[in-house]
Amino acid sequence: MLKVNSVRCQLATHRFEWSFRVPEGAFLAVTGGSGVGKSTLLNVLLGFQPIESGSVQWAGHDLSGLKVYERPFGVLFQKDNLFEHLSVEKNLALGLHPGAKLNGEQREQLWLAAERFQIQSILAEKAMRLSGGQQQRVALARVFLQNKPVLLLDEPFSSLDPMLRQEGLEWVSEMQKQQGTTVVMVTHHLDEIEPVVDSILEGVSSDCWKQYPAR
Amino acid sequence: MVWLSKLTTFTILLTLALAGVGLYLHPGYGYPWSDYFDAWFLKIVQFSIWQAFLSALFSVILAIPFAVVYASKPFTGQWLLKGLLNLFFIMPVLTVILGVVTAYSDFIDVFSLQGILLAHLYLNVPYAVRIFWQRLSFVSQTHLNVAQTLHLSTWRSFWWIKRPVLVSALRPVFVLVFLLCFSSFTVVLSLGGGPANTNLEVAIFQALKFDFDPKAGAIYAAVHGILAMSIMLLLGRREHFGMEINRAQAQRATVPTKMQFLAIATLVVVLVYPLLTLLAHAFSAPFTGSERLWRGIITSLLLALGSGLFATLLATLRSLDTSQHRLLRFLDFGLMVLPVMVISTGLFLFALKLNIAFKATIPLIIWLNGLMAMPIVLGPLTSRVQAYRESYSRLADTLAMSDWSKVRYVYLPAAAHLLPWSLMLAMVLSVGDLGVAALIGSAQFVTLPILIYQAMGSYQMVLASQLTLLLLLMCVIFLLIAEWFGDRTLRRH
Amino acid sequence: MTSLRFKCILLAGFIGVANADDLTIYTYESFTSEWGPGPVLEEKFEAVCECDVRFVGLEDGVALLNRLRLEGSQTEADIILGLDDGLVAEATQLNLLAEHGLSLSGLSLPYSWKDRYFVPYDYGHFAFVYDDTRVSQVPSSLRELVETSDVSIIYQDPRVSTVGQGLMLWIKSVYGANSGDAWTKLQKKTVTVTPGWSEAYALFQEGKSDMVLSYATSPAYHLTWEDTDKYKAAEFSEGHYVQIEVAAALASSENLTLARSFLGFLVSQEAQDVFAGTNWMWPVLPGAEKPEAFGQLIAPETLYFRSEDVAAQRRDWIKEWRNAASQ
Repeated sequence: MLKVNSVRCQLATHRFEWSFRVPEGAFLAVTGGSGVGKSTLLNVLLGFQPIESGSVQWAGHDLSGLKVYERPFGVLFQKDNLFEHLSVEKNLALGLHPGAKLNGEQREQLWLAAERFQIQSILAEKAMRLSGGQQQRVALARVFLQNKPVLLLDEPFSSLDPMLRQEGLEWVSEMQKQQGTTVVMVTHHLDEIEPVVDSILEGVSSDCWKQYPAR
Repeated sequence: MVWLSKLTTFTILLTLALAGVGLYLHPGYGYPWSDYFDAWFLKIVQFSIWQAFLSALFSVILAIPFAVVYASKPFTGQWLLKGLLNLFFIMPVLTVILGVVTAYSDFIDVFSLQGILLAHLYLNVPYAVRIFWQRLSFVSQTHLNVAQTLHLSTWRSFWWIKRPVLVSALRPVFVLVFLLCFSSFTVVLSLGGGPANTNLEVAIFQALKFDFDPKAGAIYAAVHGILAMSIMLLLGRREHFGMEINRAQAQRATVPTKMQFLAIATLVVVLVYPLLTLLAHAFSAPFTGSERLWRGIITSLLLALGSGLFATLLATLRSLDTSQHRLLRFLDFGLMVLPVMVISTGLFLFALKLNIAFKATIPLIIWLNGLMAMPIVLGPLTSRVQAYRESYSRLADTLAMSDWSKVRYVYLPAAAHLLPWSLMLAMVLSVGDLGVAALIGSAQFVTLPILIYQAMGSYQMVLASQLTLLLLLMCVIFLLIAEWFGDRTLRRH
Repeated sequence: MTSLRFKCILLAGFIGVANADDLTIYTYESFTSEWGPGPVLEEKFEAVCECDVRFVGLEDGVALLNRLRLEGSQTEADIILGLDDGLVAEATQLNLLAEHGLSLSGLSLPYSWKDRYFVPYDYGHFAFVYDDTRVSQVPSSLRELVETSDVSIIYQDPRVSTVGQGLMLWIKSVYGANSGDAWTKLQKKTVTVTPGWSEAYALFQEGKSDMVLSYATSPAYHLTWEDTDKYKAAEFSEGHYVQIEVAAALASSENLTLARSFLGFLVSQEAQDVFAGTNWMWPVLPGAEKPEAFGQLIAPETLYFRSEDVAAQRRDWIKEWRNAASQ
């Protein structure tokens, strides 16, 4: 269970406050108007944004004081999810080892993930050369390899066309079902993802958030 | 990793410290302090300021009309004009000096304040045009379209939209040109140098070379530093103007308007004229090489390569340093304002104390020239690394990448494709050095610029022109190599 | 072959190979020019010594002294040649010199010479040289030049050049405590102050000034080589400041014996025959060869200061000049 208990923070003149829960293996959609604090919420979860009070807990453990990579989150940001100047293979390897130095077993893992996301043929390419759809699959493959229990997504597919967005969503939802990954996804397109969502967190204003189950 | 990126700052501090020790332990005479503040001193301070003020004033006044016309709309082949303007900024100062001498000595007395101003204009007007032009091209087309719908005349739309842009660039350009001319050494030494036309930087050189009085050198240096810094503080923040090559300009360019054509032709003719007279001079007699000459050329190439590598290394390390503390930034760019002569002398005197001064000539020159070129190549590198850091630092954190891993996979690749360009730029900046080599080298030590200065000193203008042409050729080759590398990396991406 | 040559150049340039039979001589620029005495002396001495003489030309005499001061005992030079009598005391104070051990009794000089370190090899009086066809109102005294005459002049920087220093001492010996005023007046007639003699003389010949500071012997050059008597030295009634050019061996030299034998060579008949016709100065050996034109030169009265006095006050005098000349 991911528990967010009365977390408060202040950014410029905005006061934020969140309280919600996400059971293990569930899919939470975060939505609301711009400026309401969707991205800020992800920054809080990751520890990039310090909080004033409240707590974030995962599986009963308080996350405060943990470094971003010690937290249980794999992340896809709005952009810059791949090191564009590096090859696909290096990008994936960095998901397994922070110095991209892999042992035999990890290499095997990498290869399997490439197969799964259908990117075996482009492993040697520089990331900047890939199409939008390919980049999306590589980024997904990397978070898959990181194998974190919770996947945070900050509108990661928003710049893609609806077809590709749909494809991305399917990959995510597959990971959720097969690996039991908990998913927290910020989105502007609630209608598109509603079928796979378990519950919705909607920001009415920065300090007023409502959580309700999906239809 | 963190300590490695501090190495540059450490090198700068070490240099300053050693130079200080060297000056302190100097073997020269000393006289009472009050002895140094005489009429002559006042005169050179006054001359330094006046000369720099006039240079900056005229540069700005001349540059603005050209920039306004050029920026009125993008035109085909503007990259060529921009290239020419950039070339004048990094071209060896000696080339400009000799060009001015050969082109104008029949009309005016070039060995005077007029000559100094003329050379300074040649060095700085192109740069000022470049900056104003760049600033003006940031003016949004939408604003100009709005102005049209409001039925504003050309003049009015200039007044309301472009004038504020120009005004905001005015002060930083003025200050920068002022500082560059205030610290001008080679120009003032070659075209002034007599007791009446001497600035602080030349006075430092003369105090050390003619009077052998390091204390005088130190005093002039301190005054120079204090004045330069007060001017910086008084007249404004240091703005950083990058010299990054900007290839990707996808604006629609069309044939230049009549007005633009006129402005381009005028500036190109004026800029190229001294180079052509230099060329004519150089080819007026056959070139006879000598062993001394070849030695000078090889030494110059070696020094340029060494300084270039050192500058690039320092700049790369510095760009990796996350610390943007004001003091550190000040230290980086302070090198541009501090008199090179003083640091050179301090180090040289220190080396004399260690009995290695004439064995370590080449490393010393590489050290100093590398350090001087560092701030200029640092700008583009830092902004590149900074851009990558902004894009990727969060991602790198979520991947638990160590500092070393970040450098290896993120920042170094970011810097990598600028490195050949930085190296070549630093080489161009170092190959024309006269001051440091002239001060530090033993009597037999020759570099190409020293040979040029000696030829000029004995009024052998033809030989001087030929050598200068050679120097220019070397720079052009470096720049072409840089372009080639730049293109190649661009194509690879 | 070329690559081998390049390697040699590299080696010579960077390691500074000190061959045991090399004699390195620091001197001023014009001494080593192809018309100067340097090449002839080099050839003549190399023929007898089986060594390699290397002249290193520096701007001018005073610069030589400063170079020596800067390099100290680390200098590569075996001999320093081209200082003048005014700088002898200052150079001796550096404690870098070796005694010459020569007897100089047979020499003829404007005043008697007994220095243990320096060997004089030629001398001449400073004078303002003018073009007879262009200047009609030639001043007949230094005071006239400074105060009433309206000719334009070019002279050399006394901080660098021994010729410029000569004018400084000349003015001092005529004006004494009023030299500052004299400089201020002279400044109005000065076209430019050059670092060395060569530059000044070149500018004068291009017609940039009416007169140039040079030597009373300079017209001999034009008489001999250009067969013209239009260049003349103006004779001043107060007398002319004299310059004796000198050389000394350095104690740090690895070839001290060779260096001393070169000093001896300098005052030998063979070398002395060279100076008048190449350096255009009076040789110190009375019987040395001189071009015929030396017979037509002016023979001015001699003015000079003791070298110790120059050493003690040179800096103050230079400051005096500098303050006046920069206005």
